Amino acid sequence: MSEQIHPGIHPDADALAAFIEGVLPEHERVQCLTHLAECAHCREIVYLAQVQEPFAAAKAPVPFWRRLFRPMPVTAAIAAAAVVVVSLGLYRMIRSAEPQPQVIADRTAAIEAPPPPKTEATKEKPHLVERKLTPQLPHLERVLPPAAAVPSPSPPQAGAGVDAIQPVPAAPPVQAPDARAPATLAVPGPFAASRFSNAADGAGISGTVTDPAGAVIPKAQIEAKNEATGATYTSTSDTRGQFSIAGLVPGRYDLRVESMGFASYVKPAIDVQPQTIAKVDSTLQVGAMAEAVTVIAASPRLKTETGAAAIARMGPLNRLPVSSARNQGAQPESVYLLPGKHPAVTFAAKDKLVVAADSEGSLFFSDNEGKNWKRVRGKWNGKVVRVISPPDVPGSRNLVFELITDPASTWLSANGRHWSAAPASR
Amino acid sequence: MDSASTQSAGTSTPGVENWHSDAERCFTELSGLPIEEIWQESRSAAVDLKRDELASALLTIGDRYNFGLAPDLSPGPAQIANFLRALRLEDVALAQACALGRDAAWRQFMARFREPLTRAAIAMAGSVAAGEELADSLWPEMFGLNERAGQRVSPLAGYSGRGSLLGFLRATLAQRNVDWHRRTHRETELPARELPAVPNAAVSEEMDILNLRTALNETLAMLNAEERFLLSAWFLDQRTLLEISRVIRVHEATVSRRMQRLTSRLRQELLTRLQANGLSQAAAEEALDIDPRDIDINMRGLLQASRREAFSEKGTPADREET
Repeated sequence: MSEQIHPGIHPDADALAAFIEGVLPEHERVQCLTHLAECAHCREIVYLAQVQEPFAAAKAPVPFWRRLFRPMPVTAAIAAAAVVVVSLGLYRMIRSAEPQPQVIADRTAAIEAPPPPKTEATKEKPHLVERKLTPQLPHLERVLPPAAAVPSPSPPQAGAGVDAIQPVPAAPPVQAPDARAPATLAVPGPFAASRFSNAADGAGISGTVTDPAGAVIPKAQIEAKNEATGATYTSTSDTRGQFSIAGLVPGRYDLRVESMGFASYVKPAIDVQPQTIAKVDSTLQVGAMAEAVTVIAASPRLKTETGAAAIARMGPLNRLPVSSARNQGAQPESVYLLPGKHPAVTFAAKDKLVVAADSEGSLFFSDNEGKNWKRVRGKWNGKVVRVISPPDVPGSRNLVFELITDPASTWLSANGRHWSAAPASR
Repeated sequence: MDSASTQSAGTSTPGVENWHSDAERCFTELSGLPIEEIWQESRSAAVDLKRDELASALLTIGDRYNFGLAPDLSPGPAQIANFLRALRLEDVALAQACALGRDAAWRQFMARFREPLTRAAIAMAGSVAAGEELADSLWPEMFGLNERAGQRVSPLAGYSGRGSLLGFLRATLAQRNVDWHRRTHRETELPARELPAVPNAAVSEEMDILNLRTALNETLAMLNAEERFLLSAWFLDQRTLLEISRVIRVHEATVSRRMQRLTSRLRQELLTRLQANGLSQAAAEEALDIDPRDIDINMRGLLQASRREAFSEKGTPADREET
């Protein structure tokens, strides 16, 4: 029997890896194949070692015209709804645009000065308009791209001899960017607004959030603050650690990235240009203990989280915290009240399903994010000591939850209710 | 070649000739490549690997694989240079520095491979706990905790740079996993394979089976390595076309076509051989229709036997195919 394990000279890991990657010279490749034909042991290794191959190979891009004909009910419905909403909005704007100039004219007139007699108005109007424009200019220059910010002194001059009401409709496009409402309400407003928002749509910040080991951090809070206006935009990173904030007004932004258990990352003065996406990849450092305590005062679970991360930093040979799985479990709202009246010591969540074990080692299951619980009685012996929701792993079908019991055994489940023993429990 | 060596000496430390160690001089003379350039390309400085260490490591690798040529050929300088250029120098430098226990190298190594390898291990082992344990057990082994004659031996020193370092590590992981699986699961798997023969096999069929066995033996012996691999992967391991296609790096459809051609050719060969053994065509056809469970034992036996035969004649068929 033992010749099954050592029947002769097996190719070493190096040769097998080179064989799998197709870089062996021909004579060695033939040798390797000859051996593989005879040795089930090495065949097994070859299959196992190339498990992740399809993920390395990029998919061939689908031609864009093929994408047009794909059935996509959800997207199509959303697009249709968006079209309806936008056209309704436009229709309303155009409808409401006509009476608007009078409103603005009335309001400005009321603000500026008591309406002078008509004869004086013709002389004083240029000054009046000048005065009205000057305080707004600084805002304009900050917010608008320079080309759009050039104020037109010509309308007042041209309309110098005209009635008091007339300069005002010429003024709104200048007023527009600062006070947003008038911009959309004025007669040329819809067009100016659409041009403006196009410029803003193109601008944005995107990037990836990682930890020092290069693992991505999901659910990190990202906050971009406009230096000039103080407006803040927030986002969170997705499961691949990526985030993007679109629709920014061009300008300089301070970016702040925070995630539990990590020191926050601040990158000031990111220059966001119109029509461009600034790319900012941030690497969060493992948080200092003091910092971690202030961040997570609400949830005692997190201390262990940060502790694990800090220990992991101490030496390369320590256990690796699989970041995505455990960070997902580290949400502050996850202190569950279990029916057994014992505190929950370990839990795992996936979508709305939550599986938790209490200090007595009983397992509970909830399919509505922890509102109602049901006790799960498995076939295992002893206590449940750890429940894991593994990251999406190629090759493991339907594996959603995994639990480990006290006399060590591993059990797997696809839905949290029905459990089966792991095929190769160590 | 001399000019190359003096030039490389001149660029780094002008006027000083004796920093050249034997390994570096040997390297430059053999390959005609300036070691300085190779050293920088492999980013050895970042992992704390000296020029002579890199040079001797590369020479050792080249020597081990005869610079990519069959053992009976002797490589020329162009072949040597090509072989060395084709290596993944950066990975080689990292592996060698790790094997020598350099701190910077280990930091880089862990940062690069910890996450992907843990994922690979989880995928191989089929569960998070087992996967993490598998991956964790790999780091100390890579560091070389097994001492041989008082010397720390790291398997990373055996990495040749022909494939990627990640692939090497993955293959090592797979080896450990299969080793472990075989050690613990062997007893449970074997009995299922030995199926009993159909009890009411007619006496006349005994002869047929005997005939068939010899015919099979001869037919299988004439197959080349890839065909044998196809057969074992498909029939013995019950792998899918996709899995096989990934291993031999052709498309699934090609595998399918080859399998079809191979099986029909096998059948044809068997028929001819049976007829050559004195059976009529009808009898030969009939012999091929024997209950496969009867042959099953023979096939298994044949494979066990052919394993040994193949080992004894392992050198010869490979040589025959090459010519």
